[in-house]
Amino acid sequence: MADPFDLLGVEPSADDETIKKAYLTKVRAFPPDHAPDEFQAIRAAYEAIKTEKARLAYELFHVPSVDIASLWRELVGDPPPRRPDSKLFEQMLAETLKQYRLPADRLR
Amino acid sequence: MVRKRNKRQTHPRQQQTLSFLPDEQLERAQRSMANERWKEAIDAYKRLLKTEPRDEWREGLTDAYLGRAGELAGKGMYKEALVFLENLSALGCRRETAALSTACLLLAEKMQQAVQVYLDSKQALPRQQDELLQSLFAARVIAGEEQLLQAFPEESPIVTQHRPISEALNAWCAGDDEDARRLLKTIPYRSPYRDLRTILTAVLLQSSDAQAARELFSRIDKDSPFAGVMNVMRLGALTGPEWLEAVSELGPAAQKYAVASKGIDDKIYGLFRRMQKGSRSAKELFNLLAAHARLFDAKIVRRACLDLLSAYPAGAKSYVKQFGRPSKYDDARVTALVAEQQRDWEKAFASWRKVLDIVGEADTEQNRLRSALIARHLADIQKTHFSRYSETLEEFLTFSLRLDPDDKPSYLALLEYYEEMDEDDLYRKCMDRAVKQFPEDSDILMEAIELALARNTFKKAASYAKTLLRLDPINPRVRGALIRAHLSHARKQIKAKKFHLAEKELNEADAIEREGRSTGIIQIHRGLLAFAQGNVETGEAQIEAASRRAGSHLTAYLRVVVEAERISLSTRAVKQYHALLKQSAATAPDKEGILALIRAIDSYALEDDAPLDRALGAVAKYLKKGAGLDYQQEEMAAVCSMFEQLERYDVLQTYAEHALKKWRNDPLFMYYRLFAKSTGNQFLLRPGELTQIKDALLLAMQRHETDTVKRIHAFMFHNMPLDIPIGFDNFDDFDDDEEW
Repeated sequence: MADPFDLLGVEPSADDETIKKAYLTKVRAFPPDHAPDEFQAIRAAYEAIKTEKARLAYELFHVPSVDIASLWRELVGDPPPRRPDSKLFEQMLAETLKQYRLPADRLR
Repeated sequence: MVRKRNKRQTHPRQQQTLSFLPDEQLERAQRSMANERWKEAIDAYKRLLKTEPRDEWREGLTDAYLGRAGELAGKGMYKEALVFLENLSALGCRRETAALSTACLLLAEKMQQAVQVYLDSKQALPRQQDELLQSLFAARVIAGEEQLLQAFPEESPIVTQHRPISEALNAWCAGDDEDARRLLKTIPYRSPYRDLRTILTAVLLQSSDAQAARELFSRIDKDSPFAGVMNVMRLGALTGPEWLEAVSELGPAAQKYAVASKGIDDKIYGLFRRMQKGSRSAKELFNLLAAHARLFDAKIVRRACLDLLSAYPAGAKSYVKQFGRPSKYDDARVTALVAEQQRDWEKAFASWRKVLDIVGEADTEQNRLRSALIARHLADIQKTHFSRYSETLEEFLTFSLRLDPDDKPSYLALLEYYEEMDEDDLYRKCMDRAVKQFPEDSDILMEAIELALARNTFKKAASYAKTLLRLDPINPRVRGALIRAHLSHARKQIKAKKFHLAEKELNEADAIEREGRSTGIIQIHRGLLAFAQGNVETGEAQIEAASRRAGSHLTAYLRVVVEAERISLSTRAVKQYHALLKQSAATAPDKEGILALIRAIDSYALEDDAPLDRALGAVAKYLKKGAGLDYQQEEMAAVCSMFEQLERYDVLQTYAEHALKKWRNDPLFMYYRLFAKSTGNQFLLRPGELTQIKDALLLAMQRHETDTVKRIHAFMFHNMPLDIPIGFDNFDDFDDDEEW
């Protein structure tokens, strides 16, 4: 099972109420009749962490996933975006223009 | 002498090019033009022009050149495209090529020439072409070619709108969103910078309204010179490996930009890229992370490496060397998890015990809950991998409930243990606690009803059943249990000759029974009540009516015989039913009759009834005769299961043998046959039969028939712990030649 905190988009320190809210938001985005697989995963994640007891059980017994997504979540998380230097923007635009493919049909 | 034909086949297209006939060349040229095969068209027109310099052929050649130039430009080969465009002028081409030339010059970084061609031809350009070229110039200017602005007239929008867009971009980069929004609003819809304005507006919305941002991004045409920027900037909405994957496909400058705007260190990005490119094994991830630990918060990286140890235990030494010894708690917990994965249950059990001791050292509310959870886990390991009959199981479950009484599965597990150990008193006490803790839980109440019925505490059973029926009005199990409670009570009253009280109980049972679901059992009790009161005629009428509901006379008679014996009623009227039962059992069986009888027998199966055992003797032949009827596989399995439970080996063997005729080599029926033949004693199996039961087990494992595997295991090993991985992906691990 994917990390349930990750799947519901909540911090491991989140309380019952926050987790329930996140769960309901996800269910609205992935209702069972339209996205049954996603719903199943969301439901399983919610069941795994919905109460303090469930969260403690998860903390004790889950075998951590050995994958880059889990490491990313643990080590990097979702840092607040930074505004890049305008020079970087300029260089990025110049690079994309080098890769630009002219729609020649529109100019003939 | 006949020369050998050359085996090489000439391609039809090659054949055509070898032809120099003008008509054929013209056809080839026209076909190539229509299919946009410009090189071939150029060749054909050149050949035609060599034969005769016709104007239409020259025009065809210029069209082909123009097509080829466009083709090369579309591939990003702008310098090569420009060569063809220059050839066009040499041919005195009358077609307008300025737009394509401008774009190619601009993208080949011949800026001043590009501006010159553009300004010279601007007036004649169609609006759409002009917009695209202006947008290209605008992108160039923003990408650092500001000197281009000097070549444009002051009133050109490329010049006039450069300042607000640049300032908006700078304001956004500086985090001054308010100012950026204000400046973006000053840029008109038809601006050459329009797409950049849309992109910046989208980025400003990305954190507050992701949907609106996505919608704005989607407005950027794929041919826009700013489309590449849009592709980079919208990646900001992604995270984790998805973001990594997408960013890794960008060019170096775009990657640098994306990483900077994500707010992560270049080195962290590099590390994750290496992780992503590698084997992604726990070992590799652990080693990479340990080697780059300094990039992260010490506590977090330590935790991440510790987590990886449960998948890569060999990294323990490196871990200790780099981070020091983990806490006693972490050490024991990771050891337990590793042991579980290696299926080393002794070690897992010992390690979890250690964790339990460590957690118990600090008495906090959370630790009490942790202790309860660990104790339950230990009970589970004990039950699944060691012995389900050990006191250890009871100790852990009791301990867990003391710390956390709010756990229904633990109560149910404890009740199951007491039941299996025949600890009636402890079972009753535990049930009382469970009902107190979960007064409205259907599973607990159902267990409590069964217990009360078994103990003949009918009022208690009826009270629980009423509570349960209030919670779950259509629960057929509860209705059945409640009816059984009233019937038991009625029998008690008949035996005590308190006939009016028995009548009352039967009326209550009648009130609960749902219409159309009657099995006739209440009427049979009414019949017996009438017999007990000496009212034979009424009794017989009741039993006759019950026969219709029971599905057959035989079933009703069996019930009369059993129920009468339970209340020690042996009047002459009752005795006639013993004779009737024998008579009915001598008739030829039919499927419906057999199934009705089976259902009636099954309803007694829970009650461990000696009268039933005696009555079965009278119908055993009838049942055996019916074994060859046309049953569904599920029906046959249910019948066998019931006789297995009743330990009626003779009947079971007959049914299993008939089943195997229809479903050859079915492991479940193979088991039933051998179970019955050995009267449930595996030591009576002969060597050949041992091979057969082993084959049945292997087949059941292959077919993932978990229930059959459990039955065979219980038979062969008398419920010793089942440590075979049910699911059996590692079926091959099961040694075929292993001694049993």
